[in-house]
Amino acid sequence: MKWYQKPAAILIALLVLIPALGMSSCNTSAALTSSVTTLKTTTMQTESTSESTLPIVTEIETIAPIETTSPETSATIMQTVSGGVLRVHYLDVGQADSEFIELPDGKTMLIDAGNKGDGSAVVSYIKNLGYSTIDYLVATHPHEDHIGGMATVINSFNIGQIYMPKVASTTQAFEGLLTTIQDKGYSIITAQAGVQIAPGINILSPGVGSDYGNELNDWSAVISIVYGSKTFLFMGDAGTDPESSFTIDADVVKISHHGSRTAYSASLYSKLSPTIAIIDVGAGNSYGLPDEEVIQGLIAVGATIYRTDTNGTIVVESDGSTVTIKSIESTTPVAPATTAAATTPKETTAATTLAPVLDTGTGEVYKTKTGSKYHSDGCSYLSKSRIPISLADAKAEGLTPCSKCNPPQ
Amino acid sequence: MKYIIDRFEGNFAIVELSDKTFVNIPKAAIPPEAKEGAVIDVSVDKGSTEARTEKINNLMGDLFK
Repeated sequence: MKWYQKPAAILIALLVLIPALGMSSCNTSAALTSSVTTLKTTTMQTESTSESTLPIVTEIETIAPIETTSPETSATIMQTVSGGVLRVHYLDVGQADSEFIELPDGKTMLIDAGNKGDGSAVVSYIKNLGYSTIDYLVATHPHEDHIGGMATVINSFNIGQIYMPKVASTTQAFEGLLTTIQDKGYSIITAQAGVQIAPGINILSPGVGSDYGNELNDWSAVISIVYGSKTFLFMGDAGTDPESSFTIDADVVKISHHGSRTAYSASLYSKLSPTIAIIDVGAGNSYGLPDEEVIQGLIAVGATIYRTDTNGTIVVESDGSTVTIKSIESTTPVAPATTAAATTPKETTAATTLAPVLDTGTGEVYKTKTGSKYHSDGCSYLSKSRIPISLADAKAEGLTPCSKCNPPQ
Repeated sequence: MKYIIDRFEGNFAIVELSDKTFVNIPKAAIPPEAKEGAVIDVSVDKGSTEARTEKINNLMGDLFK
């Protein structure tokens, strides 16, 4: 049944909005718009005992299947992305998801674009990396914390292919995304299992013919990127139902649904056995995320956990045989590259080339209908009205920074 | 006024208001049958308001000297 065939309106006689409960804490969205410094740098030689026998290959024909635990896995491993360095940016967009990926062949990919108010910060981040094209754009599912900023992204870049699961939301945010795609003359490729975005980049879920009804999280496009011997998995907000349909051994996993127990299955994480787990989650969110049992479950399978609420934007790169992690925190000034305390030449190189120079003048902040202050996303003063505005415009209107949430200045 | 349920997280529904902003509403204040995507129509129930006002006024009238 289509959404518009459902009862269109549900009457509530009296309903009081609870404005005091913000959707995320102060300082979350500020992360992308401020200066950066590298907080910590860790080179992780993930368990690659077979490293020497698994050269980074550039021709599909030369790749030997290494994991054959399931047909999907072997099919995935047969093709890998090729070229130089794979670099994944897990953007700190507060209580929302966005991952920007620099592929080894020079192409780019964006999975989700944060909340509506995060769009311009996501755009600034990518442009500051020097890109004007997003070759592969994926909206994992139509929830606003994943697609809210995507219309702004589409209006700001040359877009190659757009992938979305064929499921609707009735929100203006989703409608706005669709009309933006329409206005630009683009079309949408249905995201479903078996679709290959590019060699080595595959959609694992939702399964062909699967119907998750109103459970939009479960419609999430789940994507794997295989490079050499390393696999990155992006799970959107997929729950345990779709998760049970795919099996893959992954090295770096974007944990599903901001670390919610609704997406947690011990057997799945046992199968995935990630070395590195990334949780996109907003500091002080109202939903208790991430759930402690997810954290404990990840620790139990030996994963090292990184979180955008505590680590800020997280950058991970791989040369196909190793994985290197960086955490970029946004609230302190840019540190000279030489103070990144790199302990190996590799890290030094990465530190100087990875940290984008972020423009502090175009940040997205929020104002209220009547207040004289501007705020970071999630500030409790935004409970009654929350109007996105660029930092420059906020200043131009004479607004001053909130003393409570310390927005960018 | 109307708003749209975008999603549920924990004890909250996150709804989109007509001005395209998003706010949390406790699940307890949402009809249990309302799913994601449901358009919620909020209005003042004048009849119930008047009935409640009359009932409370009557109660107060009995109590105040």
